[in-house]
Amino acid sequence: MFGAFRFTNPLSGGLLWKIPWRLSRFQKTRQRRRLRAVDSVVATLDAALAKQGETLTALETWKESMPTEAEMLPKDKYTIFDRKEKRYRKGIHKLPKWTRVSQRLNPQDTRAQILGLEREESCSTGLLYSVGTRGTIEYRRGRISMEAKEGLPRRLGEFVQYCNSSFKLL
Amino acid sequence: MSSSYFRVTLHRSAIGLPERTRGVLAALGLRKRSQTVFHPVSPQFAGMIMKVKELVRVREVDTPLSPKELREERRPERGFWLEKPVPR
Repeated sequence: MFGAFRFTNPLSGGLLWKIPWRLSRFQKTRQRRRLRAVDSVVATLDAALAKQGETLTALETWKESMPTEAEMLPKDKYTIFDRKEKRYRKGIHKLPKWTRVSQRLNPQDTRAQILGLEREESCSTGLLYSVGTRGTIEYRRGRISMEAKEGLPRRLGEFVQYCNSSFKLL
Repeated sequence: MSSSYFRVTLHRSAIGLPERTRGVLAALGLRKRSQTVFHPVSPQFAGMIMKVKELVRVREVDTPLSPKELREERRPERGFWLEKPVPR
């Protein structure tokens, strides 16, 4: 009944894995902490090299391509793209050595690609919107078009602020 | 120009990671967890740290510490202090 060779469902043959399909609240907290730790290492290296007037290709590439923890979407922090999975996403804890590798980028959302949009995000009100190349904003429920303006913020955080301040949600 | 150093501490073990990664750690002189090494700030060392950024903690310091000083740093507080030495 007890001990290493007890008769439990996972041990009694068959394929029964007891790995939860999603991360727990505490796993997510630790995941964010690890992401921030990597960010801080990169920031330290960058600051130290900048003081000496040196550059590093690997560092520049990283800064250019990789979002920081604050810039990442929860979707990308805790899940990973998988073409075999239903809805194309699985928990990041299915990635081998997931606590010691950097996995931050995923293929762009297909819906955003089909629409020819840059990216699709959720704003603080919980609605999904997409930012078009010509300054159009599409909500998942219906569509709001906005005239293209010169001073439209390109960065996501600023854009969310801009949207929240200038639109009344339908 | 004042020279500074990277203070690199191995925080996560490299068990089960690729040979290349473990080789980088060996090149940095990191053999076991919570071991600390000092390397001058240069693109060469920054690149090596970049390869193992998920495993280490890095700080920029002005002077490297000797093993003795590192040991002193780890020593816990004594729990008491002498206000005045007793005359014998």
